[in-house]
Amino acid sequence: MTVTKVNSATFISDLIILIRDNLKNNIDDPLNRPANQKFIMTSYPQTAVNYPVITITDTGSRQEGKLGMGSQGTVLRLGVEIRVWARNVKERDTIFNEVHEYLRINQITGDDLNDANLYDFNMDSVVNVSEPDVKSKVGEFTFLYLCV
Amino acid sequence: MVVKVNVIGIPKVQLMLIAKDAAVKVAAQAAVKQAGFFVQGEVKDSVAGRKAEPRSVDTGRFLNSIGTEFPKPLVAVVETPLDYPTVLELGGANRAPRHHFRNTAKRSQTKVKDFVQTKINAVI
Repeated sequence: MTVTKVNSATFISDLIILIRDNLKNNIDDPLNRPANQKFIMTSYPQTAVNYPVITITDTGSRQEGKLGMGSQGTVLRLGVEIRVWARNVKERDTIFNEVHEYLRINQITGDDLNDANLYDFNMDSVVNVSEPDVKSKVGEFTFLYLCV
Repeated sequence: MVVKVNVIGIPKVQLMLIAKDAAVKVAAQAAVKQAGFFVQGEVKDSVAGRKAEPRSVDTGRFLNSIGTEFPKPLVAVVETPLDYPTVLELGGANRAPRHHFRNTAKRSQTKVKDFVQTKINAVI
């Protein structure tokens, strides 16, 4: 399924799939994987995977306001978590930088996230989670979405 | 024709506004303190298994480590100084995330705004 813009009726899944596809097309996978293995996925892996991988999950949404007293339109703040799981700190930081750079420089030009109805890109927080074998970086991002 | 207008009470209004400004700042700080301790309690409830998230109590070290600090005016930070709760909160390679802090922050937003609104309304 290809999503080119976020629609009001399906905004949560559209956001996740749109970002997944955009990152898939623009972030280089450091590994040569078999066809049944994914580099970018939309949930935390439940089975053994070959790192590095990127997971994109929904962190919840909230309504910032309405578009007017007589309007059914709302302003939503959509949250998305992009987590890079890697074999070492250098690999983790390199991939995360690429992800952030892609999202930052494609807000209003290039692939143009504004055309997808996503505005006001914001990186809320970035937290490192270091485990013995896996180093991951959890980035929480938000977009403004006009739900009309 | 010359019209002369005298505005009376300017010094009193200025003094009143200065006093209100100070009172609002004090009230807002009190509200932030109240909100900080409220959120701390909510996080502890979550860790103890009294909210939607799974219980994260084994020895009680994490639960007892959660505290609130006020590093600067109008800021409250609810945190734990321990390292391992990061993996509990955000999940790991073989562990599902529990989101005690993240979910509490989302659940508490309205209540925190209410604390500030109520305290400020009381002084203006």
